[in-house]
Amino acid sequence: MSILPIQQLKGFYVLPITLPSPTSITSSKKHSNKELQVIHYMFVKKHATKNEQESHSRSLFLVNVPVDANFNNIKKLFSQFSTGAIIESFKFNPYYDYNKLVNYNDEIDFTALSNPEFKPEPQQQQPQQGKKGKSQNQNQQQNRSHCPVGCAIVTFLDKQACNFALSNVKKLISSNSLKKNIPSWTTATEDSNVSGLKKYTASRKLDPKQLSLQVAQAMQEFTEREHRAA
Amino acid sequence: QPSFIKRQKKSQLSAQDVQIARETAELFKSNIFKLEIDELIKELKLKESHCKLIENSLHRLHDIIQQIPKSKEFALFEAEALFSNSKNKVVIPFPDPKPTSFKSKLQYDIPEFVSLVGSFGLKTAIQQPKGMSVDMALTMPKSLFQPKDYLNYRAIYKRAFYIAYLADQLIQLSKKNHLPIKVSYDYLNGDRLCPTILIESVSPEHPHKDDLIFEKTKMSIRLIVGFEIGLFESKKLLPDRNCIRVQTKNDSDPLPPTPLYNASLLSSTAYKYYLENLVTARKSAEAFRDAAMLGKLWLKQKGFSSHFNEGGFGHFEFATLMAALLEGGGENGNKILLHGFSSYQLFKGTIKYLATQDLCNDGYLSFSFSLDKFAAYKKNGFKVPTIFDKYTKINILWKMSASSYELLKKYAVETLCLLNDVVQDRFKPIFIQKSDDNLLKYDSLVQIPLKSIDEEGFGALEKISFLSFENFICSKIYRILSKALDERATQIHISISKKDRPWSINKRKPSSSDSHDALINIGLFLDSSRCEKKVTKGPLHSEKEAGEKFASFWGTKAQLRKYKDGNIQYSCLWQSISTESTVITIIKYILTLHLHKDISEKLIINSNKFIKLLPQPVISSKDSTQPIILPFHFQDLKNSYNELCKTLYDLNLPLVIKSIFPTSPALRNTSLLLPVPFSSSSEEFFNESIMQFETSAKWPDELIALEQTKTAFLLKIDQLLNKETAYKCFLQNDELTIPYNDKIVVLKVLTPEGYGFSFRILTERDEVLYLRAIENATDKQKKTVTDVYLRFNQKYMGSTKHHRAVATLVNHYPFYSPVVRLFKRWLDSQLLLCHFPDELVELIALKVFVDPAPFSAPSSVASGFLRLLHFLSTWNWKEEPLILDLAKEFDDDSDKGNYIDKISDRLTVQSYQVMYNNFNKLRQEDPSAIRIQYFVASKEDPSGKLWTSHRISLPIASRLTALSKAAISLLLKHQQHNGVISNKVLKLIFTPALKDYDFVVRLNVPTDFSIASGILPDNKFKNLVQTSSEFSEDVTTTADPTQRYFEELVSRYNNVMVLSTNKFIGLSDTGKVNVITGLFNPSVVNVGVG
Repeated sequence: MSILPIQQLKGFYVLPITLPSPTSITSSKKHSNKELQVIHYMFVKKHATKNEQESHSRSLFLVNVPVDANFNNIKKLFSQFSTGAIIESFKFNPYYDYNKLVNYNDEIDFTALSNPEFKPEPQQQQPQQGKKGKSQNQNQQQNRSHCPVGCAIVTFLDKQACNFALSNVKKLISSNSLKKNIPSWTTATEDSNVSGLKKYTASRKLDPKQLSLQVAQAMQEFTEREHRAA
Repeated sequence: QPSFIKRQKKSQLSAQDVQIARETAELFKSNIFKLEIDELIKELKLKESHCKLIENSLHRLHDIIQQIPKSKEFALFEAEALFSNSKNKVVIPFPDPKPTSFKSKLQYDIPEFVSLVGSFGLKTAIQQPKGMSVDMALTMPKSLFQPKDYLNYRAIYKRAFYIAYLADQLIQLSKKNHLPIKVSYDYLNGDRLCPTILIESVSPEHPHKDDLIFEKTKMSIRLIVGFEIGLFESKKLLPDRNCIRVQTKNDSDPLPPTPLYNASLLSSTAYKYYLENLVTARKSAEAFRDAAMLGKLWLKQKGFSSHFNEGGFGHFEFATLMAALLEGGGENGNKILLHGFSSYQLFKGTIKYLATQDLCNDGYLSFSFSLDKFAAYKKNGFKVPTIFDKYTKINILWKMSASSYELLKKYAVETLCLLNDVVQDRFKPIFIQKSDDNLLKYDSLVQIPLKSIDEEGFGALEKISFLSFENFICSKIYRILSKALDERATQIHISISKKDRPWSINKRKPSSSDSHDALINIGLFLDSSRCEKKVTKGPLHSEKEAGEKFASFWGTKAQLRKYKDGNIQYSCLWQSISTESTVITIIKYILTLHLHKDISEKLIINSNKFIKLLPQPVISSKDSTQPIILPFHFQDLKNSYNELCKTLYDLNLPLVIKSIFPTSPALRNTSLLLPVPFSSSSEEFFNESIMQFETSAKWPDELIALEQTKTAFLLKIDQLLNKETAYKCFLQNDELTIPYNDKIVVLKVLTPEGYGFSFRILTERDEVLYLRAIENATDKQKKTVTDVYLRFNQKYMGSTKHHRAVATLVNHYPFYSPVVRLFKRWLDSQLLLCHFPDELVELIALKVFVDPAPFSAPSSVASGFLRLLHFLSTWNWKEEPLILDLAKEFDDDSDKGNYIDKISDRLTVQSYQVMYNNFNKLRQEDPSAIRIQYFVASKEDPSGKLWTSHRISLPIASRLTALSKAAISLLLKHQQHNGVISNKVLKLIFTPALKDYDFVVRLNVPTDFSIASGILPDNKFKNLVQTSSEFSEDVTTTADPTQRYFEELVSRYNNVMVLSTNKFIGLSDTGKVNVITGLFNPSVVNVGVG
């Protein structure tokens, strides 16, 4: 597969990355590894908002992020060509809407809409969930409104780190040896530890104990809010 | 006193009001109808230029005929020699039996009259795609005949010579007279005794400037040769007389009557007579002409014509009946139609007469157009359809059989119903939609190759009374089957598939190879509530004579059985075969017994093949077969469900469960797969219900918290059931159903019988809170929040209403369940089912049952499925809403009185208008149907978009139309070819066209999902299949992973592509493969990313 010759597109830098081939295909001997290299293109730009100008920003705006992107594998990706630029946070808004109803440009919170008096304080928007793994998920949901669908915002520790990372992206894609040095993507495995068939045949039963705890906590929070409102 | 009067007055007034309101509706409708009719009549009229051209040609033809000189007299052998020596090699079209010796002389003389007859002569001809023929009648001079010539084919032989001579001369003279034509023989309406000359225009190689060519008019001219009226003593030719004398074994036996021969002969004397009288009728009633055209079109769309094989009731019969009804027709000779009637009224009156008067058994219509004009309905029919002309002694319906009459009457009844419908405009199904296709119009079609029946039993006597073997065999089969099927079939229509074609003038009759592949069509209209009965009951044991008759008719099948009521009755017991309907079993048996011993292998039956496509369930024990309608699986499921509900109601909970509403297809008999115990891998395994508690003020006043509270209740039920009962349950998240509400939890219950149920809670607060959310939403959010509310409405409220409505109708239409199941299978095989909610599929399938016009409600799997495909292929959903009347009572008895009218839940004009206006509004907002394609409304959902506003998209809706078009045309094409729909063709129809998609992902799963879903694989035997009798440890892990993968892909990519998959992996060939296909949304792809 040839690499897209375009380096820049509407102000975005075109960053190729290689996706790992599914194990079932690589194991078959018919194909050599090279042929199966899947190249995915991300589009990178300095992040800017109304309040924060581009020159002051310490974030990069990514478009066309792989579906399983998370803090860990985005960190691994940047470490391949831009060692030292420390990533502080990662916000990602994946598509997820079976009924084609979700409007990604607008956050809808039924708690607030169905009873405006209970409009929660920003930090209490979602009831706390017992599990560690889900707090990240919660984070993502909170940040949806700032990040268009399918896009991500990578925030670095400081402005220098951000600039450093972006200049490394530019350097990488203009280099002659890009073909050999395409950064590779690591599939997210930390969270779900399963992929493929295992993922889709995993149990869907809820643990009644945890569910009770979660419901109890939610009810308690609701009562508190009710009191506050009254 | 005064108050009493006043009250009475008031009540009278209101009754009058109702009457006026009804009449207004009727009038309004007939006004719209009138406009539509006017428009139609304009369309139907022949082109002016074509008429001119054909008239010129007729004049020239007339001149040519006048030029033909009188011939000398010939003996039979001289006549034959004359033609064999001439260069045109014309052969005399003698009917069977061909004369060997003939004493009279044969001669040609200038015709007494030449006159235009038929619809062209009456000026009621209509445009027909295949063209038409203009009939011209030549009357042979009286001098050529002797009084006794009506006997033994004599007149007919003389006419045959006359025709041959005429044809020979025409060929010679037409060239000289610049009328280039092709001449062939053709029977008049399939009457073997009455050959005619068919004249078609041809373009010569070197045209002359004077040549008259009328090829482009698509019209041909038919020369009919007739006799003078009153030539024979008509009394001698009454239907009960014998006019063909044949030798019989026993000379003392009276010869059978020859009604067909007599009528054919008499009809030949009356072409001119009837034309003149019809013209008089046309002149006397202004709208007669238009009404006759409407009648002709109506008959044509139903497949009727004057032809023997097409029912024997066509334009002529319709017009004559109408003319007679203008003179009378009532039991006292009172007039049925008035001269001042509009075309709509004339047409409707005639249809009503056909629908309500029995002209076959109960009575007949007697009329006369001559001096003492009259028409009256007379009691005591002749057991043959009869409209008798007292003057000419012709039974106008002589070409009709009892079977075709029954069919005509049925159509008239149905059409009358449509004409009486004040709610919807029924113009289209009456006049525009064609419904004469054998595959679609019958519930079941059985065909027998004509050649497979030998002419045994067709002796000399049968020959003279039936004239042709075809007539004989059709009548015989009709007699056998109407006795055998009795009340199982409402109508049996028997016809011959081929229509004779014109044949060369070099042959005496059409070559028999033409009829070589002819089929006998046995079209059955079944009574859906009786046709699948397993027992045919006969007379009581005590009725000896009747019993013997029964036994001799049914042969070894007849047996004595004792019933619960103590009666001992002659009966036949029919084994239930899950892939064959009982009616077919009976037909096979009885035709083998009475027609031919090897007949059952030669029958062509397509309907069974459709039944075989229904997924067969894996059955562990019990019966090894199940009936086509109402298999016990649904009942078993319902029993288990009712038990569970009882347990739930009895649970000790903080709030009492008030109601549980089922919403699952399997609980209303419409699931694609039959519910089989422990088949937890099936997509339809868990049957959903909505649970409601008693009213309480304690529900939180906030949506998400409310959802959490519901979860608390479900947790409690889960705990109680697991602890105290034999039920196993667990809870599961439902993130997909309602967007932005990811806190929904459902309770899943596994019963000891092996079924799965799923419960979600609805409270009285939910709707209020969703509506409040819409109120509080910002302008930008409003649309999304409203859509979310609709989604909630669908899942929690619409689904229960829908379930209730369908569950009632399922019992009323026994074949609805298998038809909708087969339809779902077809949709799934075409990767469409994943786009349609079950509810929508079921509503669309209901269309052919509750609103079947131009057909009747289907009573077989095949007819239901095919008519459904036919409907989908013609449904222009951009411009036509689908408005269904899901009423629970069905009698179309209009004389019920006001009380019943008031409580009837049938669709009213008002509610119909409301729905229609909703549709118009929708299309104003969305004229090209980009947002919402299908509008499907009923009293349960007047908005029409409850089930159609999500997931379906324009390409999917268009694809369904295109696929149904392709499927139905393929089926019709193959059926028309030689009757057989091969398994290969059917398989093709159930195979998706994967090439049409931008990409296809093929998925293989390691386990076989067919048996695990309760499906018996095609290639396996029931006794070799291992079925499970317990649940696996965690049933959520045994579900089809391809569905979950598909869900994820849809969730991520449905904004850039349309994804499709098979919902039922267990139905794939091996039970292990599935595909996911994608179509990119072109607008997104072109814009690019970013």
